Amino acid sequence: MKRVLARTVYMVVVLVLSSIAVFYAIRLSGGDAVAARVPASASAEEREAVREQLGLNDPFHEQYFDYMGRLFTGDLGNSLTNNADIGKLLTDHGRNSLILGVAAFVLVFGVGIPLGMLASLRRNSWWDGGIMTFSVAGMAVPNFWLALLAVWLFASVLGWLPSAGCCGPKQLVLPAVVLAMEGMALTVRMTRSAMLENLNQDFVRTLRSGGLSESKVIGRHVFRNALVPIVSLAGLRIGQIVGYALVVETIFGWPGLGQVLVNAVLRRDYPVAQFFSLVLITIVLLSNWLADVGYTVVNPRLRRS
Amino acid sequence: MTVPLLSIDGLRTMVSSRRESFDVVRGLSLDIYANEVLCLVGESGCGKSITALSIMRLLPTPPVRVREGAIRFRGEDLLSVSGKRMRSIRADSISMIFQDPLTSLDPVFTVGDVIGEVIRAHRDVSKDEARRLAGDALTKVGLPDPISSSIRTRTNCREVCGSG
Repeated sequence: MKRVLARTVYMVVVLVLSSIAVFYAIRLSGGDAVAARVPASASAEEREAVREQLGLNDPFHEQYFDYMGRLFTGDLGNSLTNNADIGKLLTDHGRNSLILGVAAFVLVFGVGIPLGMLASLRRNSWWDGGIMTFSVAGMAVPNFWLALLAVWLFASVLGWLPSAGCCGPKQLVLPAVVLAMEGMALTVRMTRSAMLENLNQDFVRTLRSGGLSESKVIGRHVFRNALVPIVSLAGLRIGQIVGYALVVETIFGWPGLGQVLVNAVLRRDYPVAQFFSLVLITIVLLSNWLADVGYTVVNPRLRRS
Repeated sequence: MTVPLLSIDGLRTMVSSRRESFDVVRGLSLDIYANEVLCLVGESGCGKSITALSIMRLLPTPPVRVREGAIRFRGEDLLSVSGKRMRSIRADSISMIFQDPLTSLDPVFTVGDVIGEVIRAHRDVSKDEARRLAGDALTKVGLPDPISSSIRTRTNCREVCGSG
């Protein structure tokens, strides 16, 4: 309980610090936020007026508190470039990102864990070799390149799947697999090594001496022990998915949060970029928090302390 | 003359790798009768544990395996019975108490869970009933709560004798 509380406090502190960092960094990045709002022919005075109106001339801390204050009252603001309501951007694009993220998450664990178990139970076999080769390749190949390869093979050559678009199951396959690949490869390796490590533990012999069947010993006891490191790092996998989503959504033209954020940053659309950065940071922090709590749940040794 | 409960005849257990192989137990024979206590005493590495693990068929195979001999328990050759039959003998008829109590217990399950599970592997009882029996067994060995490491050996004892 104490642990959960400590992690919660930690999460809030990091969130506040990162909101300041995001706010500051985006203003440091150069470019002109006003450019998108005024015609190219606008005079210096006109630009200055718009800047003043948007409060961009105020000291940094005033802008920050002003923005955070409005955020807490539920006023998310509008885009500088097209005046779009940020709340609406969040619900529309958030839904798409959620679909893609959940699909990738399911692949990471739903495919990664069974493959890792298979490799560990058929150690040094053809299966093991094949799965580990796949895993090494999955970790080594950068996702943007994998995305291009996948588009080339499955969309251009074979014509099985569309190369981009949204949001049917067919369009989902390629981005989800590309997004999941590295996490999946890591999960395979982790599962395999955790299973092998626990298979050699003394308690396995004790359980066998108790007359338990192999399926119980391995499927229940060894697996549950192997799950501890996997679950505790699941939060990192979520963070990875969120980070890679920026790249994958852009390549596949998947209209999610990542795409909105990338475009907003490129156009110096401060309110949109700030807000969506904060959204992604919050998701990553929350998933790390969940992982900490999850770790306590799967590991009774931590529950008592 | 009565028949021995456990009879080992010419046991030879070997460690073998691709390059070399050697005996860890060679030509061991013994008989244990009902109500008899037999202690195997010897320096470390002389094969006491390997003998016990051979009887329980819990040798880490490969690389260790029984090459020769017979192990009969109540007239049944343990080396040739099915895996299923062997599991029903373990903990129910022959139990083993392991040396290192700290590593011999599954860290993510409670002792009660595991003892209950062992009971259910041998007796057709409900989960709740198994838990109750596990609790009784722990009370019988005078196990207080919380568990300290010195008590783990006794727990281990109950775990493996749980169904008895």
